Amino acid sequence: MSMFPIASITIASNGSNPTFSSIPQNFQHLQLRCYMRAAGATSYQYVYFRLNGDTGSNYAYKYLNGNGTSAVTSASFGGGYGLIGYSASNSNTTGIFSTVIIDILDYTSTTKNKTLRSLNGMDINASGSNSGLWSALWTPSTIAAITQIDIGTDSYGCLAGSRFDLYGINTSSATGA
Amino acid sequence: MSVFLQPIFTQTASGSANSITFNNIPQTYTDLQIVISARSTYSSWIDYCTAWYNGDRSSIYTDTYIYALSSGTGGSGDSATTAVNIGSYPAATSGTGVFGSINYYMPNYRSSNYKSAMSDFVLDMASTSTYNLGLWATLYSSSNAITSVTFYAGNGNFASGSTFSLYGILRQGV
Repeated sequence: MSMFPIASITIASNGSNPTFSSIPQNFQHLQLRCYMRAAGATSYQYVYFRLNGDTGSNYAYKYLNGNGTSAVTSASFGGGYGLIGYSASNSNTTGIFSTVIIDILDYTSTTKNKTLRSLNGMDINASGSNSGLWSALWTPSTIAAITQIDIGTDSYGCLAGSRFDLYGINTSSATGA
Repeated sequence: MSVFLQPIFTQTASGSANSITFNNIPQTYTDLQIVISARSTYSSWIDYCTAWYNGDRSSIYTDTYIYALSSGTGGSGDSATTAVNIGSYPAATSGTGVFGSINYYMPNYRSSNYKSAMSDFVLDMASTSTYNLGLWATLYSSSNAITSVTFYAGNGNFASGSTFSLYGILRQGV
């Protein structure tokens, strides 16, 4: 088997955002699976992330979303953080959480800028629901392996019960060529 | 015992080849999954990765696509083609060190039914005018089990450092 649990963080009380630090460098890929709800009371929230604590203007993101009516896209770059999905929030019906599954390939590479690819589902049983495919790109001045992931919502943080599970994925040394 | 995401093969491109082939795929799993981190040497910001199976280049492939580009969202597809599209990915002018990310899922690859598969891919750059993300549904209208799969770079070669990781998935009870 090649998919190994690295760490799991469950938000114990409202208002915090998780950090995965000292990420092991012995896997090929990472997958971060998020079950989350923002503690803030806006109608929805974005899922924010930073890598290695970098607050520089080194992040880009794009999405392809279905909002129940149409497919929409948006793009940004040069921000001090990345966005990688939508999260349900505390103004939605009690008990509704959202899902984000993020893949980060070749996260230890020092020659590849890091691309994040996520599938996101946020059905809030009301207008404002979204499903989508997201991408994000981190382009620091010096390409680095990922050792830390900060993820969550805005300053109001995540609601208690939100869970974030980080996995490492191995590859084979056989080529099949 | 069920096995989830068993590594089978991995290939890393050298930059001199326009295709990557996995041969002699074990016939012991229920599904296959291929994870691709790739970049093209083509002198553009974008290239298009396609795939075919078992060396079969007959016109029995179809594909269907939903996409986002800077120009908006849409859909398209192809019929009676000799390969399937599985995703766009960055090429030579996309910025240093930028690689695309493609996940290709191939269930029931040993079945005598036609082979349905799907991919999700992202091509992201430090730009708002050049990007592409989307999902492809693909069909190989053959009853033959899949024993090899070839990925074709499109207009250039797969750049050095592009990685292709093949996994086997075994369902519960096997």
